[in-house]
Parts: sequence; C-alpha cells; structure tokens
Amino acid sequence: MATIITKEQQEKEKMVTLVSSDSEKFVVEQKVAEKSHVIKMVMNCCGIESPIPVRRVKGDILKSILEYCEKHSKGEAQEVMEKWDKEYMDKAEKDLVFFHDLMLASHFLHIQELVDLIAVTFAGMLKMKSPEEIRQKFNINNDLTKEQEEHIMTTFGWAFQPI
Amino acid sequence: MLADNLDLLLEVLSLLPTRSLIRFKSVCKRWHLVISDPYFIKIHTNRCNPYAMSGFRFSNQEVDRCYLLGGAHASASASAPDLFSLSILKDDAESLKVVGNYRLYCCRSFYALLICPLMLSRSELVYEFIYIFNPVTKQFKRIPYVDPERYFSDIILTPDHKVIMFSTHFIHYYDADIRMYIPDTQSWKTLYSFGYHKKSRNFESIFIQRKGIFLNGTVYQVMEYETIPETTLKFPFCRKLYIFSFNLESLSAQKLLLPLDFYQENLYFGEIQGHLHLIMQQSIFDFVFHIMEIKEDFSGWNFLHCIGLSPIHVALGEREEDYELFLTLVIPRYWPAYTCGLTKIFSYNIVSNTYREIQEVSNEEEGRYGGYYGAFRIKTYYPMLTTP
Repeated sequence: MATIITKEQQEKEKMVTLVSSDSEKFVVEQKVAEKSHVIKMVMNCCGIESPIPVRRVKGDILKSILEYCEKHSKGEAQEVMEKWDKEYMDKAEKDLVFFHDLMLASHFLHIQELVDLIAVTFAGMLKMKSPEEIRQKFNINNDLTKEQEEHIMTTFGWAFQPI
Repeated sequence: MLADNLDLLLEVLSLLPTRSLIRFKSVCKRWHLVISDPYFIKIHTNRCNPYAMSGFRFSNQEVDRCYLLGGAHASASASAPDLFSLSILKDDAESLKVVGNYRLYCCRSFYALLICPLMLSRSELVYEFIYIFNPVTKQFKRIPYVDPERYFSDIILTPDHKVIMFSTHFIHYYDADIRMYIPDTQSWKTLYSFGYHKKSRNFESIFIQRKGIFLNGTVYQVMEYETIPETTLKFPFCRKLYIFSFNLESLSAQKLLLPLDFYQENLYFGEIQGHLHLIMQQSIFDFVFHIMEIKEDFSGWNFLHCIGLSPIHVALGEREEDYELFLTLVIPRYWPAYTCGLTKIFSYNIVSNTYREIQEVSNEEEGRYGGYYGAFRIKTYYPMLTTP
C-alpha cells in the first residue's frame, strides 16, 4: 500500500515544461501533457527534463488546451465532465478565429477527444445556416457559376425550403 | 479558414444532417467536391443515426403522397418535396423505349435508397426493371427482372448492396423462393426454395409479407402459411404466421411462430439497435398494442410492453433522440358511431415506454389511397447520401 502511494506522489511531481510559439512557458504535470498524443511521443523519446517547444501553437491557445487536458486527466464523473465541456465550448465559440485555431491546434497535437468535441460544436453552428451565411461567416469566395448554383437550387429545392 | 484543413472540414461536415449538406453544395466549388466525394459519402452514411435525423414519410403504393417531417419529431407539413419525384426514373424508362403503359412506384426503402419497380400495365404484375434510387443525390441503378412466371413479393437490400428478393409463382402460391442478384452476370441466383415443402394434396400457399429486414448476415421476413384441406374447401383454413430467418452465408433457414392470440393484420416488424421488434394489435376492436422482442437465439419472444391507445388519450411521450419506433395506427371509420375515421401516426419510444402522436391523416387523404389498409403502408424515410 505504502509503495503505491509513494509512486503516485512521485508521478505527481513529474512536471514538464511546454513552450508556445510566442515563447510563453507552461509547466504542467506529465499526465496532463500526455493527453496529447504528439507530446506523449516527444516525451517518450526525448524525456521531460528539457522544455518541449510547441512551435505551431500560440500561447493563449495552448493555455486553453492545457486547461482542457488538466480537467480531463482528473477522471471525474461523466455528468460533471459533460457540463464542464459545454461551458468550455460556450466560451470558446464566441470568438470564431480563436475557436478555429483551437481546433487546428488540437488536431495538430492529436487530442482526438477535443477535436471531436469541437467538430460537434462546429457542426451545430453550421447546421441551420444558409450557404450565403456560411460564405460570409468563413470568408469563402463563391466560385460557382450562376448556372451551377441555379442547377443545385432547382435539383435540390427541398433542402432550401424552411422547415 | 475552415476550408484550409481538409481533415477538419471532413470531420465537421460529416456530422451534419443530409439536408444541410445538400444545401451547402452551393457554398463553393471545394465544398461541392467534398460533399459529392464517394469517400465522404461513405463516412457520412456510417455516421448517420437514422433515429436522430429529419425524416420523410412515404406511402408504399403511391409515390406522390409524401410528407416532410421537419425533424424526426416535428409535425408534418403537407407540401410534398421534390425529393420524391420519380421523374428521373421515368425519363430513363422513356429513353429505353418501354412498350406500352407502365407504372413506376416505390415499394421499400433501405439506407435511404428507394426500391422502385417498373410494372407494365399490358399484363398484370409483369415487371420490367427494378430501380434502386437515391432521391437525395438523384443517382440510380437499374436491375433487370427476368422471370415472367413469378412476381416479387419483397426485396431486401443488405448494407453492402446485395439485392435479395422473395419471389412467388403466379399460379402456384406454395412455390416461393429467395434469390440473390449477381451483378457480374446480371442474373438472379436461387438461394432457397419453399416449394419442396409441399407434401400433401391439400391446397397450400405461402404469402410473403412486405416486411423483410436484414440483420447480421441474416434476412428476416414475416410469412403466412395457409392450408385448405382438399376434402372440405371450407373454413376454418389453417393459417399460421411466422418469422422466417435465412442466413445468407450458411444458407440455413429457421422459423419462429408468431404468438397466436392477436389480431395479426396490423403489425409492425423492425430492427432497433440490433434487436428485432414486433408490435401487434391485441384485437381489431381495441387499441391495445403489444411490443415484443425476438430472443437472441431465435427461440421465442420476450414480451416487453403493452400500450393502450385511445382516441381520447393524450400522448405523453418526451422528445427522445434514439430508440424510437414509428407506429401507424388506424382508428377505424366506424368508431365511434361512424363519425370519425382517422389514421394516426404514433412514435413509440422503446426505452422509456412512452409514445406520442406525430400526425393525423385526414379522411379524404386516406380514402384516396386504399383506406384502412392503405395506412399500413406508411413508412418513414431518412434522407442520406448513400450511392446505389
């Protein structure tokens, strides 16, 4: 029994330093950083003594991601987690650029749970929108010709009707 | 932005309902390409949870009577969407110079694909082709129907798009079989034949109901077996209803008799989350329905619930996403006192044992399409991007 406790304590003490693209430093527990598949691989081969650079991710994004990883490494009840996830998403989706970067970063760091969560929230945002609203929101150029657009409208008219 | 990373775009788009995706085809060329791509269609089809999607309801016999359900649970609006127009198939039939008048209708649907036989009116029940059609993407495949001595009783589509047909002989009703379509040779291969079971000189017949489903390599079908003793030719006929199961790999067949004491016309047979369910009306005079499940080893029935519906009854169900069965209920014209004849569509939740009314079909509507019996043909349909 005693040995197990000390092992746990030892593991708790194992901290790792992550450095974002704008040189901001974050010191987190190893098990928190392990949530990212990519960082886990780096830690396995290079050890945790020297700081690990995360060059493609900015400080504010990395902070938000680590906040998620920390919460999810605690193993709390599912209901608590779901509620927390919802609040986390509500906060993140307010700023579209931030939200998008968060998704790219979690994809880059290979945190599949977070990618899934963001994708579901994203899909929810898009679901009821019209093509025009989508183009505006994401700054997409409409490169379809008038005929192509009209063809889609006439062939699939039902999808454009309000429910 | 979102379009920069293809992985993420796929991830997000594959979570959207079909209706939104069809609309988003007109966002830009890139999105159009992604949504039309077979790989994407495959991911999307696998992710689709048909019970959480918006659906359409269609009548088996008449294609022009389709309703759009705004979400699987909202009440229906009466505007028939162009989704259900079979004009593309009609154009195809015209281009093939089909002789004489023909009738094209929709009889079943699997994985958002409609099975549409083309029937020639110059002689009863002769089929020329069977179309497999996705009304969402407007793609179709044509399958020849070769045997002029038989008519098809039911067609089942497996997830890997094998076409399984139950066919019956025109004159000898006991002569029924199960066939599979071989695309390479464009022909049908007989897998199982019921005809060999005729032993006595009694009049025997097998009626195959159009309720077949496919689950874990096995097709299931509701069948009716009737014998009339040659000596009497009188009532009572011996009539048995059973579920017939046929495994496509081992080619083994099994039978399971239906519980007897129920009114057997108004029944629902379907699959939810890997379990086979049957809903039967207790008797023609009341609105008590029994919900049963087939035991895993196909040895008998588990009785799950019994629900009593009455026209005055207010449906109580919650809005649930999963595990819902659609139940078509007909309240006969003569009840009460010849004043109302209504078809109601109920949605029943198998987990919470609750139900609610989704829609009422008016008198005239119902009358036009076969009245009391027409209502049983109402099915739900969920649009998906599946390619035939």
